[in-house]
Amino acid sequence: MATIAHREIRVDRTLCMGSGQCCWYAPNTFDQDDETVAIVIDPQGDPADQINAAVNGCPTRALSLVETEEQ
Amino acid sequence: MDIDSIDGIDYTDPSLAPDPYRHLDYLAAHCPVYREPHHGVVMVTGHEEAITVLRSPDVFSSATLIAGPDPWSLLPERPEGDDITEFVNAHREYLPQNDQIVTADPPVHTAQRALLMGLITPKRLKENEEFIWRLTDRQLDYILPRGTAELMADYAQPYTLLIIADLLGVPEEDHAMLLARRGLGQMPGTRPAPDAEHKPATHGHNTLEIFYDYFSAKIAERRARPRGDVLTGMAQALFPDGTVPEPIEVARIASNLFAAGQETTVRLIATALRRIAEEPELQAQLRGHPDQVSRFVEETLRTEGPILGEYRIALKTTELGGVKIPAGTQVFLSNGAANRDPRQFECPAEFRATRENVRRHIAFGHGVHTCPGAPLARSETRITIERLLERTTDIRVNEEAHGPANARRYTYLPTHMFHGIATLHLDFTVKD
Repeated sequence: MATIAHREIRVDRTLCMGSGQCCWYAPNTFDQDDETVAIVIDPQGDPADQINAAVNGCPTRALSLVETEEQ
Repeated sequence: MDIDSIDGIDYTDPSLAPDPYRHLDYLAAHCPVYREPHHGVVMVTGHEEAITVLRSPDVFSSATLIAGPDPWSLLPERPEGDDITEFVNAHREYLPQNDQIVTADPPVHTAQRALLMGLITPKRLKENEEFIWRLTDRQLDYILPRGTAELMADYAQPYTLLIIADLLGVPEEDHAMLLARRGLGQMPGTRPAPDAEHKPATHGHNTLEIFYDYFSAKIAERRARPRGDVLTGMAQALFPDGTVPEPIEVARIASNLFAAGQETTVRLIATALRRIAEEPELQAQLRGHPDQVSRFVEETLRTEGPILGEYRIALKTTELGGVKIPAGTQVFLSNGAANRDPRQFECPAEFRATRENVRRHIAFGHGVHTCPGAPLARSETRITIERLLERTTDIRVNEEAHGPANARRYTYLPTHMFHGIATLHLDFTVKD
């Protein structure tokens, strides 16, 4: 059976400063909760390059992409 | 206003301070990247263009952040060529605040910023919200019984100091000494020296040095005896490569946290409260709906944030918004103008307390240098407004100090980099 690479977006809530900049680059993927901490609303909400821009652009490096394999 | 009259305006003219937005709004709408004729500075006033600059620290360096319109007058020579990265890096010592994180570029900046990561976050502040409320009420207890106050000296300056000191873990018995070193003598409830209020902490060369020995000692203390405060977090933080910073390296960042964010937060609180005092309907709406205060604060940051602009220097020849920018060009990046760019914000000069996309403002910057104190400034301003509205039935501008409603007098900071009023006298009717 083929393995499918699955990209998980992780938010470190202890690092997030609530800048909201991820929501600019990938507005259909990220949002902010009541405390302005980033949340993922749809892991595939935007094209991969936009999600990468959001992850790489985070001023506090609170976002990361983790590749997992699914059977 | 047209481009000829714009050409006649020197954007550094302090007489523009009361209303810097007239010409900045024109620029943002008509020429978002503009080489002004007085200093040869390229002014970036468009939102999208500003984001591009802030996202490109390898092209637009922060080395000349507060070096003014002519950094080359400070440097020993001006090199030729389309890439001056090496020259700038070799001559940083000539530029003001060169040992502070605000003027650093990656990778040095990345390493320094790691020492701050996770220390001032919405999550931490939420967990400590009770303490911010307590300090807010403590300072309000001082001003409210008198029914009138000068908001800067009597409230905002001592208040922001108490909070950052408490978060860092600076004991109260040290506050007076640290303030005296900075040349501001005010303690809760006392007024600053008469000439002290027009001096942002960012003038001159490495002005925060006065705090370095104090914070170096504190960092060493925290390494020996950890506590639960922010200084301990900084003392225990490592550089990304796993090495342990020298105490002085941590002390520089602690000094910045202690001193640099205060003036700006003080101006933000004043600008927000002035609008609340000037607009009774808005005041009533916010008093009835405290949940709208957060967005009101964001719209205040967008329309009249404390930072009008900051400098970058082009390390490489590049092009932005159709304008060629040779290496060595000093760039004035106007956060204040970008936040009023009509391509980004509908009717940008209009204050809309419930504007949907308001959080796209760049009052706290964007990219790697995004203000690390933003969550704190937001909390302090929001909680001040919430508590003040709850504890009063009316907040008014003091007419003795500022004149009648149709002829107000306010004094503004005489600088093109910051925006804010020097004093704000308010009267209160306290709730029974």
